[in-house]
Amino acid sequence: MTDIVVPEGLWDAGVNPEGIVANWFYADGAQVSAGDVVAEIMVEKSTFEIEAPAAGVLRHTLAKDGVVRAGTVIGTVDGG
Amino acid sequence: MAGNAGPVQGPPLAVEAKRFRCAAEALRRQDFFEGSPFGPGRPALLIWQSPRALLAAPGDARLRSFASASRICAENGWPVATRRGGGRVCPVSPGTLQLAISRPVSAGVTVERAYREMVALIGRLLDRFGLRAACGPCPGAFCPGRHDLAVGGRKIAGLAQAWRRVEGEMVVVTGASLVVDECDADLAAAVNLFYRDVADAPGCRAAAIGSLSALAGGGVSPCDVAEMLRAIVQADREPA
Repeated sequence: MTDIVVPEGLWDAGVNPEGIVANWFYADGAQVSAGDVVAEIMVEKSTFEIEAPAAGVLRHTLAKDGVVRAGTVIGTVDGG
Repeated sequence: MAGNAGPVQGPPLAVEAKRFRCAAEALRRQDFFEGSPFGPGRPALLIWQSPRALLAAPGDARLRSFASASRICAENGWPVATRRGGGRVCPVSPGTLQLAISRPVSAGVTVERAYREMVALIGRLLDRFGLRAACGPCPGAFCPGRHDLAVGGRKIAGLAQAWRRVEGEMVVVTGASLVVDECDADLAAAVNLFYRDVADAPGCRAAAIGSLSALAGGGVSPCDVAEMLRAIVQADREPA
């Protein structure tokens, strides 16, 4: 199982520590390929695409509109 | 932290200035590099114009009222196109100029530094008119955010940003909409029309919106400004 992690160092956490999961592009339980854009996070007016780190079954750890920080695990991919 | 450093430093920007038939076409160029002469791997500045439109953010597109608001706005001359960058609705018109700096993401590129590159570019433009903008939230203006640029308390530019992979390259696109010569009341009315059925939407006030031409004493056209921006970027490419 591989975690889907919000990357560190993208934004200045001292200015704005939190963002949200703006969208999931695949349903919980969907089959995804490595590199598929599975989610989008938003920090203020910046959006970031989040890619699947591996192929397998996607699981949402955090629901849409859930709060994220750098390093937050928002989901997993179970390669079986 | 890197985010506290200055603007992005890197190769000089290529420049394309283009007038599009509609905002949706412009956004396909800006966000997806459709028809781009450069491709996502080359740092570039796109300067664009389109007929009147409202650029909706992804969050706007998820509003329950989105479809009906889009229809009503289009019937009133403000078709809605959805952009990749965040925030709220941003009005564009032949009197505004949209700028988009795209850079492939490499070490040291952060949200803040990419925003500062755009803020610095617009600051250099304003210098030519003897104007200085404050950077910070401008309450009551369209699409309020921490990187609003305002002169005398009136917003003349707003910024948003999107990070995405294009043709295998992770790219950050920092967009700005600059009000050059447009009626503040028309812009505010269009934004308020879009949000009229959204209970908690912040109202947009004409008095919170400015225009470069008015602030500079009049007679400034988007075409003039596009040429100035091109000259500023060109100067960066020439050896000192």
